[in-house]
Amino acid sequence: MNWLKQLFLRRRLYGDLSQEIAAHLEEKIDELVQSGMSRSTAVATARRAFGNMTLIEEEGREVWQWPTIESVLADLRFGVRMLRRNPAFSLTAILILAVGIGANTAVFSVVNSILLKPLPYADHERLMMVRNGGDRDAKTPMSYPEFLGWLDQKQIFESVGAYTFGSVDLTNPGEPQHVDIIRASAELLPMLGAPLHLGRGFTTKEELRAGPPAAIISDSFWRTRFQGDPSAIGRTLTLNDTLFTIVGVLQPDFHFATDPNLILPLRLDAESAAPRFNFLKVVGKLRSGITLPQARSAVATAVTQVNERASSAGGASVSIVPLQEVLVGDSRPLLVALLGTVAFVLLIACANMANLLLARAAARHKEMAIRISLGAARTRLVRQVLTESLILSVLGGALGLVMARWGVGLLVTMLGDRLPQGSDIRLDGYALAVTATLSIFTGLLFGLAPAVQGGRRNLADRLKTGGRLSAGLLNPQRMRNVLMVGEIAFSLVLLAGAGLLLRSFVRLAHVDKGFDPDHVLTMHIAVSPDKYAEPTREIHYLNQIAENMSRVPGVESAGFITNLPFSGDAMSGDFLMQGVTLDPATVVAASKQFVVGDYFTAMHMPLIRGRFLNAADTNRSRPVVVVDQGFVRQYVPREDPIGKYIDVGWGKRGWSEIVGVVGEAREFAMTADPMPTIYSPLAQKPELLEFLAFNLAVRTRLDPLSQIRVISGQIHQLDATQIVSNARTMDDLIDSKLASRRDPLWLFGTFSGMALFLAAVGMYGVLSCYVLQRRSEIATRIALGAQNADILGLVLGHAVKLVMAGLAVGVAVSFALTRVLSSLLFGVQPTDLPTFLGVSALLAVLALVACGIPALRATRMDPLTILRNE
Amino acid sequence: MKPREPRDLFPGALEMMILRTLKRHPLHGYALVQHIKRTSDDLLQIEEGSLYPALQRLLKAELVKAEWGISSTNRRVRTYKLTAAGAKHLVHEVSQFKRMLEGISRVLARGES
Repeated sequence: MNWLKQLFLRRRLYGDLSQEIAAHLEEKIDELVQSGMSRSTAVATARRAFGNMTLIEEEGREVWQWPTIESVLADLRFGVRMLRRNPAFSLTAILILAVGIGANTAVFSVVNSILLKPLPYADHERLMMVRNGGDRDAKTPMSYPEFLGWLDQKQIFESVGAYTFGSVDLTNPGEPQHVDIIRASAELLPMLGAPLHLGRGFTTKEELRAGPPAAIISDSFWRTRFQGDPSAIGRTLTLNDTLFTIVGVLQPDFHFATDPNLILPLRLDAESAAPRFNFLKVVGKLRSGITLPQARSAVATAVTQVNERASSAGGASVSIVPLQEVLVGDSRPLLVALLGTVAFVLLIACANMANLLLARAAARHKEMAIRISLGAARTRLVRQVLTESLILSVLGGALGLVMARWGVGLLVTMLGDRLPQGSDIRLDGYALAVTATLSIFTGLLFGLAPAVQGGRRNLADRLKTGGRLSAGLLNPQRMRNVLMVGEIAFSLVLLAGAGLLLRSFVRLAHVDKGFDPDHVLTMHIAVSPDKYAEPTREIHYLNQIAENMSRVPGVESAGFITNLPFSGDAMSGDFLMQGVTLDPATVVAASKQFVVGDYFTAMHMPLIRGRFLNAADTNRSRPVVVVDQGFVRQYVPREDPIGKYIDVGWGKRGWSEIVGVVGEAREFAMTADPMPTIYSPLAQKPELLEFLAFNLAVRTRLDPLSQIRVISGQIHQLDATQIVSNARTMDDLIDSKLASRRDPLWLFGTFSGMALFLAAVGMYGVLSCYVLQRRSEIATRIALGAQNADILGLVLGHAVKLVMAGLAVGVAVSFALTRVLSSLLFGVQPTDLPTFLGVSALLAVLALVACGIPALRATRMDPLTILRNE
Repeated sequence: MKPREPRDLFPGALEMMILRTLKRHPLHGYALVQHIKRTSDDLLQIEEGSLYPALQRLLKAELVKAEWGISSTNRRVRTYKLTAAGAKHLVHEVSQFKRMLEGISRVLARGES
């Protein structure tokens, strides 16, 4: 019979045995009665002849048992019974464990997937991001000629790939849709080891401007648009009115950057690509055997040669950084802060757990003493306590696992675009194991303390004192005090962090944006390259759209811009200036914007000096630009910028006069200062048109969203086939950017809230114990005439000492730790005094409430009852 | 597991006697005890109850099997029957026992002379 079957059959086996024994006795009794014995004597005789019935039955059962397991099961049953008898304790302990384990596992899983796991690309450790700008400068992308230059540096790079993000309007097959794409050089995908599910990669011919238009599609795009039909290879997609032939389908598990649906070739060549048009992200794979320092010095030597060939003026230095570091980007400080936060939550949870178990142990001292005096072996008691802790831990761990699974999903939603896109985030078993072990270990450690201590002391003493302990190294009251100080300190650290982030966010939300987003509607307008092949025609078309807007009732002004503020898109590059000598160490880089119509008035951007761009700035008038205040501050701080000449660097060479200075609009990263910006009239740069996409900004007096229909109707009067996409208000756009800062705030807030709650529970527990241990002293004082205020003073005085100590330790630790946050902060110092005062006050109030309840209870004690019981 | 056999029996003796008895014909617990007592002419001091743990051990080792049924005296009883393995085990045990007895007898005989 196998053991499993035995386990199930056991109940029946036991039943059989007792029935059988009963039947045996009955038969014997009947026989004795028949032989003339009285019934009562017969019963006694039969029993005597049978022997010890209980023992025999037990022995018969034992045959079927595996003794160790059976007694462990009995311990378990007893443990469960004990925990059920005290549900408040058990539930609190399980919840504390679950929160600690769940939060840590979830956060560590995310951190591990992003910061620690290697990139899923072939030879990922040799992949480097190659960018303009030295170690300490702002990094800018590369121009196409620069990319070609680095492609030739075969002694450094085995291969070099380039890519840029973009979007196109897909009109066939299926529903028209605005899709995000990556434009990639032919070498990029093979370099990443991107496995193709079907078809082939790009050929060098397809990479060229004049080459056949080809596209590689993602697995999900293939499945949704082509239902996973292999004949998709060779079919065409209509993108911005051009037919692209599908040549390949990516493997489903391939992720890169934004996880685009489509990958198109760069379609550039040396003749057509403008020098200084820095828009390419360049990734190089180091030759095997070259170390990073070696590669860095080789790059530093090669810079001059590459720049000369690429005729770029800036980019005096070029940096190479491991791709993983770049892709992780600014999510690192956020994740590190989050990891620190949950680690503190775990510490507090463990401290609380310890507190709970200590309190419980104190309450059970008498029970333990009685059991020892009745002859229970110490090992038996230890085993019992261990079993109980283990039950709590297993239940807490299981609940923690559920919370972690749910938490990973929540984290990914909350952190959203603060995480590098296309990362594969999974629940991490290792993290679960570590956190579970840690909390279980805490449980065991503190759960064991009373049992271990139990054997050490004089039993009679313990029974007499009713479980109170005198001073000692492991004095539970002292341990509890230390734990309480720790909990307060840790909570303060978390609160300080959350407070600093909250203040940063408030600052950020109210930062001067340099324009007025209220009542501005924006939309993306992609112009068909076939219909408006002639640049002047397209410029005329865009001008007309902007002008016609004035016919829409309620519209004040309208204009086009290449990159909307807060859109996350920016194009930048170097430029030349006439008559201004710059410090040679200065990196010459500016964001470049192109304007059609009354963009500045539509956005309510302030004019600081000179004039705005206007309709008179055309191909036939003298070339002009407008710069922003940041530009003036950085490049012409001591002179009058008006009348100075700059060469924007893109398109046809030539000097343009600065005719105006406008305010700074926050453009890309909200926390960083905006990049110096040059605004050029598109009419004077028609040759750039094919590289640019335009966004319309319309200022209305009415609700902007209600105007969408009228405004797109006005556009369709000019061209009925024009695609208008991404219509949203400027406020909406800004809000979506703020959301990525707001959502992590919820996380920090939630974790701090948890910590605060745990700390409050802990403080309450410690003070309750304090009152309990001193009840006879307090009762005596009351009996001798102490007033309520005296008792409150006694108990709260003890609490105040602990709280002050906790706050002091907490402030010290926070001062040391909040520096880690500095890259996440905006407009707030890591040691911001109001924040620290505020959170300390909050914690102090909470402490007062948590400690006040046991203190008040102490004053209501009935001294007679207590003194009589002692 | 503490051995609970009466001290005047060596371990396994009770089992051997049970198996031997059951080999003749299947019996229920009470009848089994009575039979062993009677056959041994009450020479063996057996607590009636001690039979049951032994029966449980035999059941677990699958040397006997049990079935609830009605006895000749019209009682609901659990009747034990020897299995094939039980029969084999009995032969083995008996020959072992005989060799042991032989050995002990020789030692005792030598001591007498």
